[in-house]
Amino acid sequence: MSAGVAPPFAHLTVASTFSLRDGAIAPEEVARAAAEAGMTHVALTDRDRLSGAVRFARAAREHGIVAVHGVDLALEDGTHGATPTASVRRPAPMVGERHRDDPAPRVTLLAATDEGFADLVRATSAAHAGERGRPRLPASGLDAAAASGGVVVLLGPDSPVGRLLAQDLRDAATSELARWRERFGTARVVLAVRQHGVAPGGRRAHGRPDPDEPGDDARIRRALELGARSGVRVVAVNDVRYRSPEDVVVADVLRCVRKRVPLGARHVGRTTAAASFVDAVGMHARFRERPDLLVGAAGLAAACEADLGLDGTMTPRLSGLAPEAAATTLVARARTGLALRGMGGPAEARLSTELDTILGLGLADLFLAVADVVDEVRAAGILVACRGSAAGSLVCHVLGISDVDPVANGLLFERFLNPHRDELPDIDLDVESHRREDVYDLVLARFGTERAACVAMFETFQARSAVREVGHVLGLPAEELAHVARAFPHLRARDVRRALARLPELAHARLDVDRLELLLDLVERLDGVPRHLAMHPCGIVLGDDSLTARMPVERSARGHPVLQFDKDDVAALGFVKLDVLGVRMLSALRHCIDLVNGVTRDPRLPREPTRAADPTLPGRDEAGRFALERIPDDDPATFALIRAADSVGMFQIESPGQRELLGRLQPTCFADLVVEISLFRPGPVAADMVTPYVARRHGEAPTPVVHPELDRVLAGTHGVIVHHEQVMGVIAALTGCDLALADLYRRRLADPTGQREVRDLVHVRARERGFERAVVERVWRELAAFAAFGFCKAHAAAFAVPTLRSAFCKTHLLPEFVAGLITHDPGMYPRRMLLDECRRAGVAVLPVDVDRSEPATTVEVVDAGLADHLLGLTPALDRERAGRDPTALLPPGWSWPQGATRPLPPSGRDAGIAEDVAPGRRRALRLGLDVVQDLAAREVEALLDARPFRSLADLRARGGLSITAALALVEAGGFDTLAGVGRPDGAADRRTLRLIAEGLWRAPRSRARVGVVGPSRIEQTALPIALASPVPVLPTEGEAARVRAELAVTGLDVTRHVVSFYEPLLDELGVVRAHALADAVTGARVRVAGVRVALQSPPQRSGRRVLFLSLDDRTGSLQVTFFEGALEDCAWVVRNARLVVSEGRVARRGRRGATVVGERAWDLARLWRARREGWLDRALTERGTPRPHEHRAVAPGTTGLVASEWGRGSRG
Amino acid sequence: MTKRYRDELDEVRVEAGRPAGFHWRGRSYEVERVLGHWHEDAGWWRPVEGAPRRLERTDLWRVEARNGTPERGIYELTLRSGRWRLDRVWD
Repeated sequence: MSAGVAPPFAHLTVASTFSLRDGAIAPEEVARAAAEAGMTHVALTDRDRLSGAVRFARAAREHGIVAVHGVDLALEDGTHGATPTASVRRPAPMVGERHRDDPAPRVTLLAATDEGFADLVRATSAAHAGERGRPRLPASGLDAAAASGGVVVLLGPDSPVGRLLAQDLRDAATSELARWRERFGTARVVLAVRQHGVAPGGRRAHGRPDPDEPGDDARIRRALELGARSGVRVVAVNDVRYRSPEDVVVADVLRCVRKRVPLGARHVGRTTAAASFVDAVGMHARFRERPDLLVGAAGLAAACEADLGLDGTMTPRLSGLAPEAAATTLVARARTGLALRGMGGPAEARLSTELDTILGLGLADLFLAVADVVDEVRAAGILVACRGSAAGSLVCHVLGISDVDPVANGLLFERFLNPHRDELPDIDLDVESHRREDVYDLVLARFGTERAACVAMFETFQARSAVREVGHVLGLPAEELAHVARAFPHLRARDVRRALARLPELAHARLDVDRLELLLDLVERLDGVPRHLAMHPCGIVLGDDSLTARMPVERSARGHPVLQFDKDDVAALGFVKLDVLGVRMLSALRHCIDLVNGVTRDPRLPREPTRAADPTLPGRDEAGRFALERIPDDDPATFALIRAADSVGMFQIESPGQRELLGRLQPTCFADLVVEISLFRPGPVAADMVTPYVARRHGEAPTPVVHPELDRVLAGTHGVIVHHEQVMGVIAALTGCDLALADLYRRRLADPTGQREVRDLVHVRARERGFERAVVERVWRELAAFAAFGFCKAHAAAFAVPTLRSAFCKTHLLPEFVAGLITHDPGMYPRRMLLDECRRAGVAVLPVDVDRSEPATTVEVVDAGLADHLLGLTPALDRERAGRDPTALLPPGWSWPQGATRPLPPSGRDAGIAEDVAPGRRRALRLGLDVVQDLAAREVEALLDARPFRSLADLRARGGLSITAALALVEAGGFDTLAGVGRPDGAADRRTLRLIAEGLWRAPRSRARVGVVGPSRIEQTALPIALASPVPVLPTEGEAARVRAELAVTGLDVTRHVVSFYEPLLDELGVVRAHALADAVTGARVRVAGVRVALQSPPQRSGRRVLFLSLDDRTGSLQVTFFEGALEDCAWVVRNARLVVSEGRVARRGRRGATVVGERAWDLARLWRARREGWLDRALTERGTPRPHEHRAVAPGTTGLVASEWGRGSRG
Repeated sequence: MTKRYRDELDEVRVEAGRPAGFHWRGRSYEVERVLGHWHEDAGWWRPVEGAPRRLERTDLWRVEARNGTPERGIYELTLRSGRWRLDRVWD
């Protein structure tokens, strides 16, 4: 059969990857395949969703073919007259959650016109309006689909009609078809037949035959006969699910992943691999006798032309005001705002320019809407901040949307909203993360779900999830999969093979090479395939009443309306998006403020202020209350702490790399923070913009003088181009164009062609304007080099606000700030490290206490004796009181300065003093009940209602605690005070207490009430705590077990820092402690040790693998860098051990501090065991990856902490 | 009635992509008519040790044929990996 004879054809039924774990061909591939096959039209008809429509339409346009939009929907019972076929009713083996295919019959709807597409959208939304996760098109949805007459119904083998035909129930099929004709009109109902070569009786050689399967020949014959009898068109389709027949393997895997079943003939839902993207010749070969069926398909496709409206922009209509009225209102509000901010002069002119642009684009409504949202969010007591380029707008500033003054900070409006671009700006709002849902509700309630909806996000298969899921369907053992999957932190699937080759610690994994090959091959082919639809974590689309006619909507798990389109789709359709990002740091700051002021809307927090109201303190308002907006921009103590790189917990500047940069940069003001945030980006770091900047900043290199106009633009950054705004400024200065045009040129610098064009233009204009050739050449080189890397200054400035605020809180309000951090966990380090931030600054940590803890972590003012005991200072204080030198008894890192009354904490500042409240008192962190993960929310409520408790038995009787919760509380120390642990009259230790608690909680509550169980002394009320109990210096069985239990239930080492148990060994090994590392000689060989708190492997410019390990050893934290040469020896330990000892050389880059270039690494817990068992010397010679049986560092029952015991509650 | 066989066929004459004649148990058969042509694909997920993994398509042909006598029979031939086999006979 030659190609010339083949009739025209177009595929009308194609399921892409957006059918979500079904089709294995991307929408873009569909368009390309169609173009390559010489088709003029092609349809995309995904299961239940239109999610692929926008990218399909764009790809089709690119390939010069016409996209036909459709959807394949399951029908609700009662919308069709068909009975389920026998094959569907037959029970399938029960495996997995969805052990068999959705039994509902399906129809394919194609949009023939623009109105038809709107009908399609409404019908799809209607299908998702019912039970979540079970889309079904109800009768009302069918009416919606038939509303304008622009929808064509395709009835294929899986349709009600097709199923009746398969059963050879001709009369029933005829009357079912009649129903569809009645609803949609005969011209718009089409029967679809496919030829997959399925034999009568289904599969033969494999698995059981299916007696109900008539075979494709019979199905086609019956459909043709019905079509002829009823005068309904019949077309040929292929129900495409993959591109070439070989790709069926991906489709099989996807389907089995969806159904959560092992791969098997029963589960893949096919017997042939015929559902590929067959071209017209191939289709002709299948329908040799009826070429008219192909012509019919091509004709139907040609009759379908629906435009999604990809090029327009949608200006939102949200206020209900007429456009003119909205404009007037905006201008009036902006002018009032300007006056309120006390701005005038040049700001007034700028405001007018900005307003002109906004009104010109018809966006008055949007700005009013966002301003209203911000006001409403603030009124609800939620911290809100504007992020991104919108901070460059004075209008945003005067409307109260943004806190940063764009005039004073040199931020440009044109970077945000460009009159030359036909793109609408997104506005990003940061809100407290734990109130984000409230903000969503507020926005959706304000604008209504007809005009606002959340944006979807397609979770794609990532290496880790793909390895696990593909491995499962292949039937690989879970243990091996875990091994492979664990090695891939958020790696793209296509990198799997390369990564395996580069990870020495995987070399000994016990994996069968062939099966691993198969697994990796499939994982690679799943790369980037969408897995499921989720709610985008922040985007809300704002539109007008047409929103629901253009974008299908479903519901999130929490009932929010979610579009089936992602943010790119939404942007392509021209809609404006409001991004509401939950920022944990804002939650933490709110927590801190509420604790300090004792005023809160959070039911979990106390109403008692932790600080005296003092208006003379920095950051306080007239009433003496702490207020974020009162924090000064130039607080010296705050910047001293920042310069010391003591920035753990601070927003944006706490990572090891950023701390190193802080050390080099030495910021002294807000503007410096803006620069530091801009410089710490992959681009600038890779291009090493930092070095010239730092050198010039510290006067070690001259700032070049180029040209007055250019020097003015670059003055703030010592002649280094750091910000997008500077690129714009330089281009404007060279060419004399306005900033808006300059921004367009800047954007074109990203690609080589654009760069060449802009280069020529800039050169010509600059020469015309009298710039010397040499100057232009030189400036251009820098522009070209940095333009792609620069960071938006408005963005950095918006970030710098919470950075400064968090730094201020850490400096002046450490315990309250850490309480917020523990509760909301915004940072990159494990929470247990934050406890150490407290202890290192002299703030004691109090364990959870059933009688005293609030639901969240708080701050208590306690007796100094108790605090000193918890900090381990009691022996030293006692000795000092006895008139002898206490220094030998101080914990590591503490010092006793000459003439001081108290020892100085390792951090060099004492943040625990509470003399403002009462003499002899100190502030301490009180862990909240929420750190105990086994405690349910309702148990916490019951506890709060019932307390105080007189005794354990009383707690048992009235506390409403489950035994799991009670025992977890015992381990966390929650019963210590109540049961008098450590007191002469109380329970001896937590182990005893656990036995007592077990007895109490196992017995019926009524018996507990009379106190038959447990020693009678437990019944007594609390006595004052003995303060002078000695702190053990050597590890004891008891304390280690206690800390191990604390880590297990809370992830926090409350009683003692874990490293403290190993101190004798550290001394023996000659380990240099973190606080002393700064004094070490550069290049010297040292050993360091600590808990792993962060491990990063950022991509390097050289392409080599480097591991950055952060260790915390209770005197501070330090960094160890392992370069590629050391990884063979060290990678396994660094990745797998929680406690690490490393040996290497001291290196210095910054002005302060030192890091270690690691050459060796050992598991501290293993060394500890070796020391106890007398083979430490041999252990110190070990290197590389241990053999599998040696993976466990510590034998069960020994003192050390095994990695697996650290799991919960800690993100480390 | 149906009889099942699993006989390898050495000689199968193929014309225009379809079987036209075959040799079975010492007799030559001429295909009169092709009644059906279907196919199925084996499970690729059960890898044979050492063998490269690929999709293996099995073609099923149901044909009407006779071996020189006026009597006709219906024969089912399968083609897999280039090998022909006779599976069933109705006579």
